[in-house]
Amino acid sequence: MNILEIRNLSVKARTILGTASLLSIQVLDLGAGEILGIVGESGSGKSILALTIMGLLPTNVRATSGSVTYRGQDLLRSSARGLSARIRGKEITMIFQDPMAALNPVFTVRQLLEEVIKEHHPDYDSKRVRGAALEMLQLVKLGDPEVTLQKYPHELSGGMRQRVLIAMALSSGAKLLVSDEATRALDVTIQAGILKLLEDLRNKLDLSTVFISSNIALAATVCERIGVLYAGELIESGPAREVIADSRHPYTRSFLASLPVPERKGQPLPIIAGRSPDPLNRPRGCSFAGRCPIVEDRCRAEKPPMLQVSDGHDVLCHKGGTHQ
Amino acid sequence: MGKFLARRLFTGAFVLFVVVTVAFLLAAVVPSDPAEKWVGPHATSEQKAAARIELGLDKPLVVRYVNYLVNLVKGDMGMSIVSHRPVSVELAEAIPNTLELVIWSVALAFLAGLFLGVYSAYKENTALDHFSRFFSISIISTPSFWLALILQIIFSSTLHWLPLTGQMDTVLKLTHPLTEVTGLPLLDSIITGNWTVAGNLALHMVLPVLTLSSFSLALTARMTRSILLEVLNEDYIRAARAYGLKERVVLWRHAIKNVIGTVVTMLALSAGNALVNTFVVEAVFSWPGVGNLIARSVMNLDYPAIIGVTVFAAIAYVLLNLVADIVIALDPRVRLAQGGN
Repeated sequence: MNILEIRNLSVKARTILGTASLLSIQVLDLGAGEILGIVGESGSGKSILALTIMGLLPTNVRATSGSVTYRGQDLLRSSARGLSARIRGKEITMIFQDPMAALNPVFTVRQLLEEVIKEHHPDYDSKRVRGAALEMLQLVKLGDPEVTLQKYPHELSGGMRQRVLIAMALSSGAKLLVSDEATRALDVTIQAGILKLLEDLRNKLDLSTVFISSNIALAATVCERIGVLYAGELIESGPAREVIADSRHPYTRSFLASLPVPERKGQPLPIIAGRSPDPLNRPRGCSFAGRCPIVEDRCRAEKPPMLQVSDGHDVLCHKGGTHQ
Repeated sequence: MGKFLARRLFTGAFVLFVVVTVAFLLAAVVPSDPAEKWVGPHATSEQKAAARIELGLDKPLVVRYVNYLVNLVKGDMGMSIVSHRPVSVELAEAIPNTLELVIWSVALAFLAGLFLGVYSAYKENTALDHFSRFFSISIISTPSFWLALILQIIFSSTLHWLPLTGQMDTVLKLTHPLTEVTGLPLLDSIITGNWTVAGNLALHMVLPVLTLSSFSLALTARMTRSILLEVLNEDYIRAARAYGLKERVVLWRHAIKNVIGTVVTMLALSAGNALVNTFVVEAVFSWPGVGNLIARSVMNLDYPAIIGVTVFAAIAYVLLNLVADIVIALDPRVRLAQGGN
């Protein structure tokens, strides 16, 4: 059963220069207990996707059509107040790219954690809240939770901060975690620890995760399924192994080809020529047409259809699946 | 914290010493003869010579300076040339009246400015925001004596809602005598339950307090708005919302706690500004405070009183700066940087 289903979602921003199309996703599903990777370069709409799910879009950005359904409930349709009370923060939660920026610097870990716990368990007395805070720190495997509770965010290391943030995020008993490049600001070893923690939590809490990353290789090791975003469009999605080994969209292939591998040591990295289309002025046809090595005339004229490569593997390309 | 306070107090004392010295030297070089003022325009030259000796003006400058310092430490600021009363007594009468004005106007500036700034930032680019920004800019660029006059014209002369000048109706001093507790008239009248006087004092206070607080209020509103706009864009605000905290808590706890330190610091410094502003405002409203005292003293070159008021203003500034430093030092990040001081 799917915990999150996105259909025909379109997110647009109103700016003084006109309307910018930031995100356009035809179909995206997240199964219960699954880790879904969303990869793409900077500006591809990854964070907009996270904020859309969380209902935290800036005031000039709006989901103009489509649906984001969480357990049968359309998050875009519920009134903001009702949504905030019942789902956001309660069942869906989020962790951020830079834990230092996401932890309020003027509160101690204890104040931060206990506030979220109290919010979601108004019946707890202060002793029980304290106990729950300690439990959360143990859950995210922070050594010496008693000491950590007394600290301010700036007194913790990067990895510890991210663990505290995860503890805060999960204090509500959330079932869906949106992780927006949560390991980007961390050293590789610390990063591995956090990834391990996310997998453990998935098993322990039956947590579903949207794992947003700019690192496709990293996403492939953590996630069952991967969606690739390019210029705000979901251009390919499918089982992680298939998307990596048998990618069908020319962008995915170029993206993978540009990763550094030991065999090509010393040679210059291949780059994708050209640049992403302007969000204010999306091309009529395929967004990738301007940079695509196998472009045809119809790519420039018509929007490509979503083609099924195999069960659960879709690609947004006129020549999808045919150009092996 | 103790070491930090001791260091600050020591620098404060040094600043005071410098202020006293400069004020004394300035008074000495100003071309005016205090002895002449002391005895009045019709005195004979013998009387003037006697006054010169009485005031110690015959002694060399250094001796006078040292004498002044020694007396100052003992709390003796000399005699006012105009009223022939000790400056310390005159100050003791005037300071509570001024303090009460300043306290109320700073309180008003803080509360109203904070609310205006918060809502202005929260409802960015709405009519309220535009109004508040226009209001702030207009107030900041309005001289306070002019504002005082306009308020007097509107609320006293035209509408007759509020008294024009003075601290309270003179008649009440006889019919409802005020018992002194703290020295602050309004506070005393409330403590002793003297409601007639309290009401009268409050009415007289409205216009001077409004005038005096306007600048700090507008400044607070603008500062709060711009800092809060930045804070509201921080990830930790997004996180607080993402974790289901109520909007009220997000705004008034998570956002405000990051704003308040800067605003209070700024306000402590602008309280000094308000204090100096009382000099003008009290003159317009005939308020019997320090401002009135300095106006009278400067007009008559009453140098002991001038130095007395200057010392008072300097002490107030030093204390307010100390408050600002303490507020900054309360930030957990600053505490760490100072190695736990």
